[in-house]
Amino acid sequence: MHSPVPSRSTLSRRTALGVVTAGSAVALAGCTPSGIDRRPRKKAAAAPTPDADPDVALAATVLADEQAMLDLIAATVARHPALEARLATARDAHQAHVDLLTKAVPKDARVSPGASPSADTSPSVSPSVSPSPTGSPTVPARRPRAVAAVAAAEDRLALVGRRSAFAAQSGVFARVLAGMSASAAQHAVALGDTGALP
Amino acid sequence: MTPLEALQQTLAGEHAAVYVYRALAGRVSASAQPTLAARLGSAYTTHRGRRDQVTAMVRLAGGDPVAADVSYELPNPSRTAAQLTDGALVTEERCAEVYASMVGSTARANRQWALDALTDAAVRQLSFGGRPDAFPGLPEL
Repeated sequence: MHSPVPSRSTLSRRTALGVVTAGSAVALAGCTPSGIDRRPRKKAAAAPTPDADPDVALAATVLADEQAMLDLIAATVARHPALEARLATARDAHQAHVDLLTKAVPKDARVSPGASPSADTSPSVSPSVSPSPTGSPTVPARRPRAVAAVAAAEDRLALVGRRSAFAAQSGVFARVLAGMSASAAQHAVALGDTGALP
Repeated sequence: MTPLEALQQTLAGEHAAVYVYRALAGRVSASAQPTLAARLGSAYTTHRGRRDQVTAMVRLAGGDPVAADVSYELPNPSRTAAQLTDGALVTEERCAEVYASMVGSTARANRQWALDALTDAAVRQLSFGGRPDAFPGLPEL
């Protein structure tokens, strides 16, 4: 008789993101995994360095999406203060994601969700989360609809997250992104109709 | 970990999950706990299907699929409904760790399989009393 599953991984948070930060001094241009980030290449003039790490661009995109999710939750709570407790778990999770990714993404590689002129081909969750030209997400006036909007955004974030994890070059980073997307999937269900649980 | 090792580790996890769910499903009263019985049955079917899929994936990768052990330790006495529920939750948490590990050690179709399995395990945890977590499957974070 023995425990069914192998022992826990001992990876630290630092280890988990070392792979991403290692290539931090790269330009975004030209090193996005094809089919994953089709945003305009704003820095096309800057030649990618030989050690360009495509995962830095990927991390920047995910960071923008996670921040957009956090902004949507904040806007929802601002409009419906009674929802604060219900959305607290999701808010804390996405804050943890943002904190982790912020350490991994160098400042010059950040993607601003509001400033990004994403085409509709972009898988980014941010356009649907924050469609308002002012950059602040629109929140439904009725509380149940506001919760449903957050749940739907979580669902999209989970899908985009799985695509990002699939595309990541580094296995270590892919694993972290996979965990983040699984978290979003949990929140989508937890905030949705609980009758939908398997 | 090589991709084949990751597949074998996942297969070992599925063997364990199938064993545990068969035991848990056999102990639940379908009349007294119909919802729990249905959820345990669904989990058993899911993991049995995954076990067969990963067995095929190991063969495709040129490996000799690891066999199941004769028996596995259940997470708890598994007598009350609360224990059965918690045993299922622990099983899904352990599986989520294995799937996340597989994501990191594989690519393409096998990584996609692991991503889908991780998402399912994370969501399934909620139906067994689990709470949403910031990093399902990543115990160190």
